[in-house]
Order: sequence, then C-alpha cells, then structure tokens
Amino acid sequence: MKWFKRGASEKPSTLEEMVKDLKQSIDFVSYENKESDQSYRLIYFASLIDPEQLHRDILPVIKECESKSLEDLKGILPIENIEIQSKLSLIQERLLEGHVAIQLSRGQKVLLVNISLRKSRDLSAPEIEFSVMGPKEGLVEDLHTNMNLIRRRIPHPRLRMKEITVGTVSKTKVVVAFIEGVASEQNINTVMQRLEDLDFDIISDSSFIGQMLEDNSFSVFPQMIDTERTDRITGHMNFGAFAILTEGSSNALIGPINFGQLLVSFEDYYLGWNIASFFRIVRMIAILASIIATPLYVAVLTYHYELFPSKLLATLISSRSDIPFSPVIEVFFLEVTIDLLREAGARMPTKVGQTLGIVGGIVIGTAAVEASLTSNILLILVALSALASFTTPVYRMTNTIRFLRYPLIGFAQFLGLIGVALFGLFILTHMIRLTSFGNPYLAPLYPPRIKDWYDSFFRLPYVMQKNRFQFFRGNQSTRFEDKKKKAKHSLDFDEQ
Amino acid sequence: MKYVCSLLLFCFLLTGCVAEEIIDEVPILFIVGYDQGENGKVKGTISLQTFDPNQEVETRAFEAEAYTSKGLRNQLSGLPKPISIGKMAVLLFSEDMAEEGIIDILDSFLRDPAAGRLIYVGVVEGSASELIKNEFQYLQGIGPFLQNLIKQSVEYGNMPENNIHLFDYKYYGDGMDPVTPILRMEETEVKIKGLALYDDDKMVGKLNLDEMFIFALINKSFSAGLYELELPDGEYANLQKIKSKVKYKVENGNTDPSLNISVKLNGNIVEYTGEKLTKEKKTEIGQTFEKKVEAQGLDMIAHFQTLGIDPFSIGDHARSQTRNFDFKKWDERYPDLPVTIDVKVNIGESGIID
Repeated sequence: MKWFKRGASEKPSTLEEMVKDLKQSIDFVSYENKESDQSYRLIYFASLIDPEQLHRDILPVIKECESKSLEDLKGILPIENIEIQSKLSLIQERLLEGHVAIQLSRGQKVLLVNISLRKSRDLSAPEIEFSVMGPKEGLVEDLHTNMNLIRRRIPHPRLRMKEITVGTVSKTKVVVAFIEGVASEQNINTVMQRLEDLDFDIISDSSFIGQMLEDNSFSVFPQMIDTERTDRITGHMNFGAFAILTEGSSNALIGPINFGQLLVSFEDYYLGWNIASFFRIVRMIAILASIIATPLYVAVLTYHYELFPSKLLATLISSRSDIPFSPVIEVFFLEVTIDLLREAGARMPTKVGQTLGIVGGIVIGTAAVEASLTSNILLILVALSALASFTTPVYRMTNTIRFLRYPLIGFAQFLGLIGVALFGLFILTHMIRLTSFGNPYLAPLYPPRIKDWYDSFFRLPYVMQKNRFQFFRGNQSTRFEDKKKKAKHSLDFDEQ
Repeated sequence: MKYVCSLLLFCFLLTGCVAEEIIDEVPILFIVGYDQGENGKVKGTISLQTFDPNQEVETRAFEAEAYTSKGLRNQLSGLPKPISIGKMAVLLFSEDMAEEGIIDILDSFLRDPAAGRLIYVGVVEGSASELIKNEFQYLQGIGPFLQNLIKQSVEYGNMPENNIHLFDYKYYGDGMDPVTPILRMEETEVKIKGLALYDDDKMVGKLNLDEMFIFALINKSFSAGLYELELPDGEYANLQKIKSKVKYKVENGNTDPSLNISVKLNGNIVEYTGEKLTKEKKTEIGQTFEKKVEAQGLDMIAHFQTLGIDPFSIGDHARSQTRNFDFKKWDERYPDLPVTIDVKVNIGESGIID
C-alpha cells in the first residue's frame, strides 16, 4: 500500500495541479474551449461518463447559454443533481464517480453534473441456486438494478435502504435493506456499526464483507447466507432479516440466520407444505449421511467389525481382501479424488467439465476398484456422500460439509466410533456457542424456540404461519390478521 | 484456542490406547466347541472362515487344549492374532462337559465386552470338536449355519427362546433354571434333538422334540410352528401357527403353595388325514390337543420336581405374586407343589375351503 500512501500525501492544492496530476491517465479529459465569447472547460473521465448525454444534454446548453455564471447554467441544464463545488477533494471524488466538471471562469468553482455511464449485464436466471419452481430472477452486478429488483418485490414505504461506502480504495457502495418494524433495530444497528468500522482497501465482492462481518471468522460455518435469488432475499427480509447489497456483486448477504435456514431451499415455500417438509427431512438426512458415511466406514472397519451383520461380512471382507491399504488410506484416496474432480470441474468450462465428470467418475472409479486400490463398497459410499453433499441449497454450506469430513475421518481412524462421537461433540459445542449478529446459531433447537418450529425441520401450511419467527426479535409479530373463517361452501357431493 | 490445541494433542496421545482390528486382518470366529481334554484340561475347537474375492468361503478347523477358555488362545499358535470373538454366534459343549458344569467357560464370554449377548449355547450329543471339524457343505460355514438353524427354530419352529444372556439370567436368578438346545451330528447333517435341562450350570436331563414343543407352549406366551397331532381314531392332524397365551397363578406362596397354569392356545389346521374335516372333527381335534398338552405338561412338571429343577421359572412367578416371599421355604416345598393346568384350544381356520 506504499504507493497509495505516497500519492495521498502529495495532495494537489489547486484545481490546476489536480488536473495535471490526473492527466497522467489516458482516460482523463480536460477540454478547454477558448473561443472569444464562450470560454469554458470540461473535466471528466472519458471512461466513466456517458458521451451521448454529454453531447446531447450538456454541450448544446452551454453553447446557447448567454450567461457567464455557473448558477444560471445550473438552472438551465436539464439534469438533476447538479451542484456547484469548490472543494478539491470532493471534486476529485465526484469526477471518479462519473461526474463532469464544468468550469466557466478561472478559479476553483466548478459545476458538477452526474452523467455517469452505467453498464450492467442483463438479468439472468440464478445459476448457483437453481430451482424448478419459483421466479427465475437473479441479482446482477449493478447495485441500482438490484435495488430496483428488491423494491419492486416489496413496494412498501417501510422498506428502508441505507447506503454506506466501504473500502478505502474501491469505495464500494453497500446498501443495507430491511423492513422497518419487522427487522429488529438491534440487528440493524449491529450491522451498520460493523460496516462503519470495516476498514479494508478493495472490496471485490460481497463475500469479502460477509467474511469480515461474521461474528466468528474462525468458524467453518457460514453465518450469513450468500444468495443471488431475489425471492430469497425478500423472503428473509419479511422474516425480519436484513440484506446487504454490494456494488459490483451479484450476491446479496442475508443475516442474521440460524443453522436451519442453511438447509432450506427457497423452493420449499413453493411446494406444498407436506411435500416440502418431506424434502427438508430428506435433505437433513442426506447432509448427516454425507458427513459421517465415510468416517463410519473407517471406524467400523478399523475397530468395530462386530457392527456388520454376519451376512454382509463375507461381501465386505472379500471386497477388501486384495486391497493393500488400511481403510483410512483407502478412504482418503477416494475422498481426495472426488474433491479433485470437483475442483477441476469448477475451474473448467461447462463442456470440458462434463467430459471431466465422465472421465473421473466412471474411468477412475472403476479402474481404482479393478486395480484393488479401493473396495467397491467404499466407492458406492463415497459417491453417495458426494451426491448428498450437493443437496444443500446454500453453496457455502456445501463446502463446509465437504470440509468437515476430513477431520472426522482422522478422528475415526484414531479413536473409532468414540472419535466420531468426540468430533460430533466438538462441532455441537462450537455450533451452540456460535452466533450470527448476536443471535444464537442453533436457534429453534437451542435455545429452544418451539414456536419457531413451524418452519424449521419441516414446514407447516401458511395458515399456521401466523407468527413471525421469535428468533429475529422484531416488533411486528404477526404476518396476517385472523379473519373469521368463511362458512364452508357446500358442494353437491357434500349433501347428505 | 489453547483448549482446542490441548484437546487435539490429547487425542493424539490416546491413539496407542485403542487396538486396531481391521476387518480383513483379524480372524473372525463364529463358533467354538468345548470338549473334555486330558488331565482336566479343556479342548477347544474353532472353525475359521476365510473369504476370497470370489466370495467363496473356505473353512478350516483348529483345536487346542488349555485349562481356561482364554488360555486356549495362546495355544492356537497356528492362527493369526488377535483372535476376535465379536461375531461369536454359537458355543457348543459336549454332553459330558455340560454335565460337569459350563459356567466357568460362559463366564469368560459374559465378561468380555466384545462378545455379544445373543450367542447361542448348545449341547452336542457326542463330540463338539467332531461336529465343528466335519466339513459339511454349508454356504457360510458351520458357525453362521448353526446360528441360523437355532434362530429359525426359535422364530418359526418349536424351540423356546434361549441365548447366553438368558442362560446367565436363569443361572443367577432364584427360582429358575436355564435350558439349551441339544444338537447331534448325523452322517450328512446336524440335527436339533431337543432341549437340555440344567440344574444351575450342570446338565441333568433332556427333553425330546415332542416334549420341547409342549415345554415351549407352557413356558411362556409363544408362537410356534407346526405340530403333528395323533388323534384317538388313528388319523393325524397338522396344526400350524400355534399361539399360546400363558398365565401362571401361584397361591399362598409362603404357606401352602399351589400352582395353576392357564394356557390358551390358538391354532390353524392345515392338514388332516381323515375324510372330511367337519365341525365336530375340529372340536375333537381341539379336545385331543387340550388333553395332550395338559397330560404332557403335568408329566413334565412332575419330572422337573423330582429332578429338583425349575426351567418354567415357577419359583420366580411365585416370588412376583407373593409378598415377602421366602425362597428357602419354597425350595423345600417345591417337589410337592400341587400343579393344575387348564388348557383351552381354539381352532381358528382350517383352510380356504370347507
């Protein structure tokens, strides 16, 4: 950061010095018109402004303007948000945001007009959090578009969006969106304060902020949800959470969350409650199985062969009888192979990735068994647990699950099932201690919030979701008013 | 952080404390047979299975002599170590061994946390060693085969429940005595021959298959397999899915005890050699069955009383039904205990045609 500090220390004292300094960049323009009656100067970054607007709205007005004062010009220009500024630091800041500075006479005073060029890609369907049902609208990298998407989904006056700039170099705009009254003030204050205290040079993506705002940055568990789905953002805001939108990032951060919400796909809300509950439970079993399947294999094969039914023993022993490694080496070998495939697949273009999957999955898998490097039972287990780990709806959680398995395999090798239990206790203790913006991470389970269970491991129908989660401690506790039930309309087949 | 580090370190220090038993490296035993050896030694025979990649099972028998059951392990020097008994399924004792008492050897298994509680204990007419060594063409080796044989006799056949845990319970418990199945090796197969009766841990008598069935019906509520009943007119009827519901009633347990056993039986007739299975015939079959169970049951109890053993756990039933029960007095009175059995048979269905 030395270069930056030196640059900062040599602050230009006049506008001319500043222009001279900035001119070292090729995209900086300082255009002076020295025609007798109409002399003016335009200062701007060509790479930041919209030239069409400059030519269409600004230049003709300046040329036709009779007056020589900036105030008059300010009155005529058909653009909003024009200001007259003489403070050098502010002028520089505005120029870097895409304003054009208009100078009519020598001196420090300039007219700043915002004609910044905003380019963003088109809206597209979310790629990471794909869903079959539900809206297919994902965030883009442009903050204004994202705010527009959210505001359109919650056209309510109490939807608040607070802006704050973070990053000393990147000057990234960050917007905290929440619904006043629904979100707890305490949570909003916490996040605003943490954002204000955030001191870093370049914020490349929202995940930077996510990692810096977390309560415990040593934890492997995500304490905020990264999402690109607008329905998920607004849905969580309606629970009482806030969303952090970051300029230049197509992911929003949602907090506070609890662990259960990491296992919820937003599609659950679009399916019937009974079916959604079933899938949630399946997902939870899958995640648990994904973490403990291979460690159990190691523990049982190394220490507790008694646990196998006698009839399975023959299959298992004969499949392992040619393998020269102990179970733990065997498991590590296959697990690392799967993670290699995953890493390689993530770095490759889609089409190459598919080939890679086939080569890796089928060729390596079969060859490994035929070469007696692994048993085919383990191959099934590893493939199943890899498959199960991808059922998590939040991408960061998938990584956590894949990561947790390795220390657990180590524990299983050292102490067998006791090791597995011990590691389970470590994780449980850690999760009980963990907080997300000061809210307990294992919330509806511990501390028990039984009233919140209606939408946790299962989901009850919407009629029963009258109360908002206690977890968020919002002021507005109900989602709808109880109305008198309409008398059931009797249909002909109901008649007695 | 300090705690986490020290805990992790602790775990690594513990690694030497647990013995690895990698599944394909340890010899896994399913069956042990005990015979009497020379000079008061015990002769143990095991059958070891090896599994090859084609999933074919090969068995080999080993035998050794020592003074204790665990001592046999040292003598089995031709076997890779550690010998693991976690999947032990059947313990066999020769008849003369069982008559001398088997609790010394069972104790070794009862103490060992690696051994299961569902091990079957059996008595072999003849030599246990020979039964194990005989290479019958069984799919999974003799151990799992015998385990299945006994297990299925209990579940679908006419054998009362038995395993090492129940043996232990009935051995140590007052007012009850254990039973175990009796096996015999014949030329091409192993057969269940009946039930061995024990006084404490010493075998004192036998029940044959027919008696074993009656025993199972009266012992406690039970659902049995198939039974062939001889009728007074020389015809035969087959009863299936016989379910018994048993109630023991002991009166005046401390002063002048008497026992009434009520047995309610439900069964289906699946085969009948006579001409037509009429309603009258069905009641006749029921009555014949009633009489048979009652007569044989009374005989059996009288036999137990003369032997001074209590496989029906009558003493335990008396204890549970009498306040301040006195076992000493009970033991004195048990041989003369008056017993009545009420049997009621209900014939359910007799097939889909009538």
